[in-house]
Amino acid sequence: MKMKTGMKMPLGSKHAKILVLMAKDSREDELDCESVAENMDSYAEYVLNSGESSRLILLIENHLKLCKDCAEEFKLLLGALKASERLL
Amino acid sequence: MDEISWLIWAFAVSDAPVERFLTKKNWIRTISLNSSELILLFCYNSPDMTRSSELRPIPTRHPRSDREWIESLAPDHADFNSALTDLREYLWNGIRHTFKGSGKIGEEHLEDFCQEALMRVLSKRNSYSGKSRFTTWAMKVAVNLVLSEIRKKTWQDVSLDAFDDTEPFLDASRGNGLFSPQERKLFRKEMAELCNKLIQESLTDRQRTALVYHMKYGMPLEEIARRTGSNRNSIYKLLHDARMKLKQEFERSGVDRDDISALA
Ligand SMILES: [Zn+2]
Repeated sequence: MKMKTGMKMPLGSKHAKILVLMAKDSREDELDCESVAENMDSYAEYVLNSGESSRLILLIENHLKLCKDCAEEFKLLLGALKASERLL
Repeated sequence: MDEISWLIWAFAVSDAPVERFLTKKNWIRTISLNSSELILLFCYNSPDMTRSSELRPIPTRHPRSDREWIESLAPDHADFNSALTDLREYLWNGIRHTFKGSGKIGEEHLEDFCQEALMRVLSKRNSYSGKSRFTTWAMKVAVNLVLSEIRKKTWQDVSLDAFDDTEPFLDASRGNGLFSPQERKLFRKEMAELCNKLIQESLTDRQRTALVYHMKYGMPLEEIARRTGSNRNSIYKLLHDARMKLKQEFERSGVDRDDISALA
């Protein structure tokens, strides 16, 4: 299926602030989704065990701020890990 | 030899792409099976491994180290069956807890996805790098698969005609104490015009399209990729470039953080 292009009035009102904030938080050295997916398990352990921060951690956090798909995935992963913890 | 065992045996000796056949769900899908998946099928078709939506009592067992997990999930390992049962239970518990009740998917589908996830963990276990615990890594693989399937299922039949792209950028209906309603309305209108102008003039058609579908309609990156014959990472890069461009333009237009908080 093709995407419709050339939209005239693109975004709804609630997205204005998000758009400007996202632009502000954007940086040249952002991680892409693949790199975040690769490190999402160690990042989850960092969050669950209050580990030590690093440049990688900061870049992952930056990506999760900017990419709602990865952010959703990470939230679900944390929930799943917490739910299954008692089985270990 | 029953029907399923015969099928698996036949496929095993042919060593060619085969159809996976699960009697319980009547699934027929064309995929390649490796030896561990074949063994998994045997396990799932034996009575003591029958899937159930209810969790069985937690077995008493010693916790496995990451190394023990990897070793015992080798199909020829003596502990294979029990490791597989434990891993399935671990994943299912997390998946069920996390995705059930989201309203997006029935439990039966969830179970199917979880089983797919178990197979994927098994087939990818050699790529586990040891940067996290094995179980954390396995859960990551499972959540990724289940979420991708749910997103696919949610979006696959959505027609783009359902979207109204004429909704105005800002409706200027809300206010806070910092500005009078009139000032606020004017400010929001100005910001709306600026944003629209920048989106129209600074972004490429592809960037604009991806941005609108992702931000306005919440279409997942994977779905945009599927519809445009691309991949998730490329769509992320496309949006990243769009954001960088807008960042530059916002700076050039003198939009700062105070302007942004005034928009709240
Ligand atoms: Zn991402």
